[in-house]
Amino acid sequence: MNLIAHHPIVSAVLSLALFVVLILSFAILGSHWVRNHVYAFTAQSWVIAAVSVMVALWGHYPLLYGIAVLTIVVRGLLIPFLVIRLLDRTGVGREQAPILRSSSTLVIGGVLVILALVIAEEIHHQLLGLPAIDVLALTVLLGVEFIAFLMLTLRTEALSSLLGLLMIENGVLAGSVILVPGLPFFLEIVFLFDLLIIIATYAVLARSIRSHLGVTDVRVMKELTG
Amino acid sequence: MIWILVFIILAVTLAAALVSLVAPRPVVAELANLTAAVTDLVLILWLFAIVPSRGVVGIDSLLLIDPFGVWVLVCLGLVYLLATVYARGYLRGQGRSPRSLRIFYSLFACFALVMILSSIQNNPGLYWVGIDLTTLISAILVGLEPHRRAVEAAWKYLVIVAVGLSLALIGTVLFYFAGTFVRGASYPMTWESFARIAPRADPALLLVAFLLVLIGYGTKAGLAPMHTWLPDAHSEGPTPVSAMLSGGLLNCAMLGIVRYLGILRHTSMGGDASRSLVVLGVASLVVAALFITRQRGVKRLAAYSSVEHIGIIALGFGFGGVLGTVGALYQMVNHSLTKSAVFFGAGNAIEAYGTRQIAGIRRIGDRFPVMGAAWLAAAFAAVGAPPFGLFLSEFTIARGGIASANPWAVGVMGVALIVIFVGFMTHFRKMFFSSPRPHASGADALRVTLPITSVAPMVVAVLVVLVLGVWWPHPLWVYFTHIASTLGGH
Repeated sequence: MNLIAHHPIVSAVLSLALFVVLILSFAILGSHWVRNHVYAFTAQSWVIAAVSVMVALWGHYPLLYGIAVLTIVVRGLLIPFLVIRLLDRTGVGREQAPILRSSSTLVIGGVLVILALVIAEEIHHQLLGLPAIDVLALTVLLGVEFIAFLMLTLRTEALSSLLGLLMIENGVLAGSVILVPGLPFFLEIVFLFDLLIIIATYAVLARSIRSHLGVTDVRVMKELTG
Repeated sequence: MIWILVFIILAVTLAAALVSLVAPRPVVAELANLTAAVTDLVLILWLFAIVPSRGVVGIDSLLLIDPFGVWVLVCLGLVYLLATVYARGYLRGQGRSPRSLRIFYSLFACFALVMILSSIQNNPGLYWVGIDLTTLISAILVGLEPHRRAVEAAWKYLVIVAVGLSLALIGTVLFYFAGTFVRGASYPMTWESFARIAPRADPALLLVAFLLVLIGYGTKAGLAPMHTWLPDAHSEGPTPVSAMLSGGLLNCAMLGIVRYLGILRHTSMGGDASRSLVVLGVASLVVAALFITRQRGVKRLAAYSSVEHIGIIALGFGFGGVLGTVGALYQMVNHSLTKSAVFFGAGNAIEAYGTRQIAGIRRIGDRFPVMGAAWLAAAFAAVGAPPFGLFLSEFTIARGGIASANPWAVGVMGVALIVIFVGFMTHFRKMFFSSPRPHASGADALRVTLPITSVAPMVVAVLVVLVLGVWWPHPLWVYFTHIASTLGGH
């Protein structure tokens, strides 16, 4: 990643893009409309694809162009299409009874991002000479992960849980494109394939939940304890 | 020869999945799975006999056939065969539609295939993908049981394990990241390359990566306090799937943890990494002891016993050294066989009495003498009573623990095992010897006569565990010591 770190302008643009990825996570967190979650996830995926292109261009990692294309095709087009179809079929519009208000959720999200920054700084102190862009990438990776966890905890709609999981993978991809751009290309393809399987599995289970329980609100699932 | 065997194993299992999906009649799907399970077990045992102690890498460095991976395959092959035989009577008794049976058998073979592939991955990233795929396939299998509790269990399983595995993914990325400071931005992602960079990489970063991996795969392995999905998924899914989840999948997840642990042991953080695993092992034992004692569901009882067993396996690997590792490896196979028998017995009891509640199952030994005897023996084996194999493996782990850097854990282990013994066997005493309470649901409502396929796998599993309890084959000990030498630890 040192090649990028030595380009101040590229570093600045990448930093901006990473901030956008983080802010889009907050957009998902702050909205109770599931369709908005999908739009924000789509935008996040396109930004990550742009980050991949920049790293490929200035870091001389040509395989990242392939990652960018796959990210756009799978995360930026196919997954949103599939999730919107699921939304249309299930008729889910918004979280009917959110556990916390948006404002409270956003504050907790902010605290979690600060926690992510503290962890990244700690790693930075451990690894002397870690460039600032890497610290930011670590922060975004962990921050998006934490926000996704928060979403999984506080959201009760099954499709929101699905988007929470997809967001986790976006956070990992955004961070790893900066931190480990040499991560084998083949692996990235498999990760994308894995995303599609997640969607398919969720679709099957969401249908089962609806047919057995009549709703897609996961709070009705309280039978199993002890 | 090794790669021919591996290819046949994979091809036969894949063929079973495909044939099951398009089978004109369910019996074809049953036969396809049975053929695959028998072939897999025979060829895995063949692999077991010829695998070199240093292992071999092939298929463009994607696959690794080493003694540890093959041992996990042996455990898996045994459970796959037992569960396939058991599934025949179990599923027919449920009166499922032919379509449902075809889907079940196809996914069942896919589940086995992905577990086989995960166990022989040479790439930690692809290993993660394999474990993730097992979650997705098995979640659907759990959700196939036709009641709402199964859907709830499948959903919780999917969400909790997916979150856990996301942490394992970050840990994997951080491991690779740590290596970039040693080998440059791009290098092959294999267990061997991780092991090579570890001694020169930043130890603190490696420890952070390991802890993430431990929590991630620990969630999948059912280690407390990340075990919360396990009692639900193991108890609510179809019984053959419960056996596969417990006897096969937990070992596959533990394989990943131990491979990373072996890497960390070549660094200054080896002690901390081992201690982390020991702490999770102890936590699992304590949680299992508490929940087994107050348990009311018969399959949940078996599920918490899985938490106990995986906790003991974690302790063995965490203690390290020859005794700890050898004991943990022996515990793996004993756990796989015993837990299959315990789950089969629980499944039979549920089918026979029409209830999942322990209180509704009474005098089962009188009504099903052979199945009852096998189930009771399996229960004794599960709590680590002699002369069964788990007694030997747990005793060996305890010896390894006393000689380890964490001898305190042996004390907790001892107390927890006593509590579990008393709690577990109290439930069995009631199910076997107590009279039914007036108006208790299910106790008098015997619904079925058990087919031989529902009893034979239990008897076979218990007999093998009994043999393993009185005779620990010396070649097996030697085999385990080879694995122990590669994993290190004191």
